[in-house]
Amino acid sequence: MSYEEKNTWAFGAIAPVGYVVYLVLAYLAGSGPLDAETYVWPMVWAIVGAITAGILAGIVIGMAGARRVDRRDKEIGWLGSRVGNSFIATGGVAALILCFVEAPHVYIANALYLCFVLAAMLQAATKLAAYQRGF
Amino acid sequence: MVRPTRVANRIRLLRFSAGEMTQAELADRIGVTRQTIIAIEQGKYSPSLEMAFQIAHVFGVGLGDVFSYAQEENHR
Repeated sequence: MSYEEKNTWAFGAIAPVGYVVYLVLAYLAGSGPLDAETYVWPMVWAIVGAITAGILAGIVIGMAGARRVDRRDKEIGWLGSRVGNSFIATGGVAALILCFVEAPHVYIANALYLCFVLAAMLQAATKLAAYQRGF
Repeated sequence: MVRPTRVANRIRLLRFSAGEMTQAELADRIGVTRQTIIAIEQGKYSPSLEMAFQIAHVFGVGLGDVFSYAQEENHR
């Protein structure tokens, strides 16, 4: 398994774990992710934690083996980004619509974060399918 | 969504003809990962034209001696 493929596994695992951590923290801090009084810091910690975990995973995976990234890795990365970006756009549209109807900011933030997580998972799944089945 | 390539190749045969060259050795010669060589050999990845020329150059043969297109008869 190449460096990039291992990184993709880590990336794909960290995103949903980060979201679960967010839900747990949100319920510990208040009445859940839609509690406008308490949702901010659980979300901030979950996002910062996921980014940190991703960086650490990359460092650990890099220390364990060769870090060569070639054209195939880049092409698979582009494919994953194209597919994952569909959910980024969906999150943007959802946020716009929520703004239009003057929804509470907690709904907008949660819609955006959920779409970021889904985009990350879809991107990782697409890349792993390309690595395993062919590209 | 993801479809393996129709490009067939003789890299495995050429490696053995070239003193049983390993996949890792070939990968190092053309600057890619060993996993990419494995994917090309298994027909799971269609290399760029530049990479295809590099592979052919390593074995000292022409591009057509390394790669062929499985459906090419249908297009004639």
